[in-house]
Amino acid sequence: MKIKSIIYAVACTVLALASCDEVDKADRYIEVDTGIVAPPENPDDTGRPTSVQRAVLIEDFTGQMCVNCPNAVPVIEQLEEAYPGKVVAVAIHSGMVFPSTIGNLALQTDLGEQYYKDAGSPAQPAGRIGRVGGTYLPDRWILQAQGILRMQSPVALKINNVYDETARKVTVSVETYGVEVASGNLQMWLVEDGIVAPQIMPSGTADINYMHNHVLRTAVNGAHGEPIAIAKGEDKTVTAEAVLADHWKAENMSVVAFVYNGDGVLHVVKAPVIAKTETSDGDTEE
Amino acid sequence: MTISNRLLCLLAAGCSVLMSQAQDDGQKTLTVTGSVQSDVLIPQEDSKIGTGEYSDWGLTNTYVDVNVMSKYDDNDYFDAGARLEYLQHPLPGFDKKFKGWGLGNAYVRFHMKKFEVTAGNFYEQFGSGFILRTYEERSLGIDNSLLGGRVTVMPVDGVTIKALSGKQRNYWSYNDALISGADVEIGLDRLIRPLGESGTYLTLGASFVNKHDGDEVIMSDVNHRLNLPRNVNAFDVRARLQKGGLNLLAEYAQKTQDPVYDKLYPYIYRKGYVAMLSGSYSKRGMSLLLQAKRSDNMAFKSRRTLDEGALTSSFINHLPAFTLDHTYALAALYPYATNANGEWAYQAELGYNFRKNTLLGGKYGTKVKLNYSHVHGINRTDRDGGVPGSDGYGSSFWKWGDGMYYQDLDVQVEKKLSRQFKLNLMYMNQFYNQTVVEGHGGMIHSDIFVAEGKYQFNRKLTLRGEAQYLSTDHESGDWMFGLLELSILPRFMVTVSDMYGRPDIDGAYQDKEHYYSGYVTYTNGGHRLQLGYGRTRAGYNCSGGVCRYVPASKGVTVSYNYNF
Repeated sequence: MKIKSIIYAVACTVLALASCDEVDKADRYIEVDTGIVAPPENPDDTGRPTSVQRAVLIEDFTGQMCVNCPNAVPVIEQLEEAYPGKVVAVAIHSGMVFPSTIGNLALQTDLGEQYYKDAGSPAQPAGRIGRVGGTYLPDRWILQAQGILRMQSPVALKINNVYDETARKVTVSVETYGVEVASGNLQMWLVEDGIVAPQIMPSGTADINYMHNHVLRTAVNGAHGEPIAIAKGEDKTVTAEAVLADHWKAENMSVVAFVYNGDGVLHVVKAPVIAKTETSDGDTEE
Repeated sequence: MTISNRLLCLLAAGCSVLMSQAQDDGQKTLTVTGSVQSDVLIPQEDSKIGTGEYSDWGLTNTYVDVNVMSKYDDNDYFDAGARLEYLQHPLPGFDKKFKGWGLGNAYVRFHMKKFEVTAGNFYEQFGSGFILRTYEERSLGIDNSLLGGRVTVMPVDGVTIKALSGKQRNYWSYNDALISGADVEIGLDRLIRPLGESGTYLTLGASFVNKHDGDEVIMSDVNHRLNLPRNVNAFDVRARLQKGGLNLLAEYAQKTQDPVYDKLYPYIYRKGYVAMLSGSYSKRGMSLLLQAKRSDNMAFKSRRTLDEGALTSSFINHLPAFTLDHTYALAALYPYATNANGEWAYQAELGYNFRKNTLLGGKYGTKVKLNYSHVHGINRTDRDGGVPGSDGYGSSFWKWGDGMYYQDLDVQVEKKLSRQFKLNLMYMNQFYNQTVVEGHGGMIHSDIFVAEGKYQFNRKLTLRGEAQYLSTDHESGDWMFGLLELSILPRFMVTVSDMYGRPDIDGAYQDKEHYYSGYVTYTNGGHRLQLGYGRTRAGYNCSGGVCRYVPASKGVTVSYNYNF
């Protein structure tokens, strides 16, 4: 009798508890007000912005041999679509070596490897989001990026590129303006879109025609950029040059420029190498 | 209050209770036991085998355990214990959060004949561990104890009831989720006399575990976050029958919606399932084991998000491995890690002793052991793209999915050829799906041959040698291994070995290298000291189907163990 009642009590408890907390399909998503609005720049008398929404740099530590890395791409695409011009992703190929240099199909660079090691060699895919905190798996990228997009930037940035086709040389000028006092390092990178090269897919098979975007090719002004200090209301322009390797397609290349310090990336902008300029609010002009 | 402080207070409270009790009663006996384990590596960088770069001259994992027991009589005792862990400069390859030092474990326990209460850190397993198993495995860097309380009651002979609640250790912090559970195990043979008297032992068990976790923001897209269940419930039922040499176990467990991070199906709302049937039969000189297990979405963890790099932490459950943990170096080169989120696993093991003075038994008898393990993916059809918030996938129970994950067929023969010489031979045919286990590399199919000989010169001196060869067409290449070990009883053992094959550095196979090593071990009473020098290959170190990646290393090793 005693045993029976124990069994009965346990069974009842199990059933009672097991039936709770199921979430129906229709109730699984909660709409959120992210509170992210691009504030008006309220230009002052000289046409300079008095406030700039911070853009977010996503350093995607990825690899051609990393099976789950393609899963990070939709996260980046969603963010780029939702916040046009405010999300700058850079694919830093690193970690496991792609075992071929034939036809320049390997996208890994020593520079990328250096950044990857600096980030603590995390399991890939891993992302550093605005260099705030450590690295995160892609499931946290939206949340982290939105946290940064709610912030203001103390600095406005604008890239002007001049490309010399014969010498395959790009001259990058980054105009900075201090909305507030800002200091840190100014970093310029070259990235390339539309590279067709092999990638191991989540199914375990290789896709030899995989399209790789925003792949880090090189740093224009050193691996860690150069120190910069901008006073409030000050204009400062920094210029640097880079020569494009033969197999890089200039028409698919862009310059990424950002200012960072110990608190993270203060602001980031991106502009194509050829004949386009971009302002800090994301407008592009021919 | 930090964890260390909390544990220290708990321990102090426990000890003061113990000491005051000890002073009250002169009849009681007070015993102190414990152990020290310290493994040290003085590393050297070696780019040929791909060691890391080190900023510390020495690395160590050091543990000191102390337990105090006050015994009243055979059934009644108090005990308390604590473990000091020094992992501030840990050996290579452990998760980032592993680093630290302090009190990693402290408990007090009061035990009576029919009743036991534990407070502090404790380890527990319900049934086979399908819904709850907390344990410590130092080689893997796992200590997922619960910090809380546990009560065990044995109301009548043959019935054991356990109830517990606590928070799970996650390296140097505790996860927020509260884990609570209960387990009942009834030995029917003890309650129904005729059953026991006929030699039929039937045990029934049932368990329940609840994970209660707070809300957190997990974005499914830029405008939506997931509505997360605060409670995840899991139950387990099992029956074990034993009669004569026959042993049968059937166990089934299920858990409710538990959206957690997963590489393939992150934050899905599918339920989890696991079923196992295991049967063994043994009689003199012969044993047979047959078992099958199907797991489906059954990684049960005490936190929803994954700490980057902390792949083996925060597991509440553990599914038994259906593949052997091989001890021979090359048989263990490609070990399989159990996949709780989806696999069909089968194992068959046959052992037979050919008796002395028979054709195959010879003068001293011959032992033969045959093992076959096969692990396959389960069938999966994506539902709603398998995205966060969806049901993930559908799966038919019996149907296999695409691809074999692992298979090994091995034969071991143990043969004593003379009074001095014993020979062990092993052949293994192995398929290892490196893509599934490690994320790259395809299928490695290998044939492994092992010969081990042991020659006893006299009562004090024994020489043991191993020769192993792994042959494969995979680009990882063939491997060779040789070992000589001289034991000089009762104090010394000298071991030299060499492994030869292609180092895998960041996924690229290099030219073949020698992984030489030498060790001297000294044992005296409870002390054991081992000094060594050599190279260690990068690879997976597994225990019970749970694996840790160990990077290549080279240097001087010192290992000290002391039990008191």
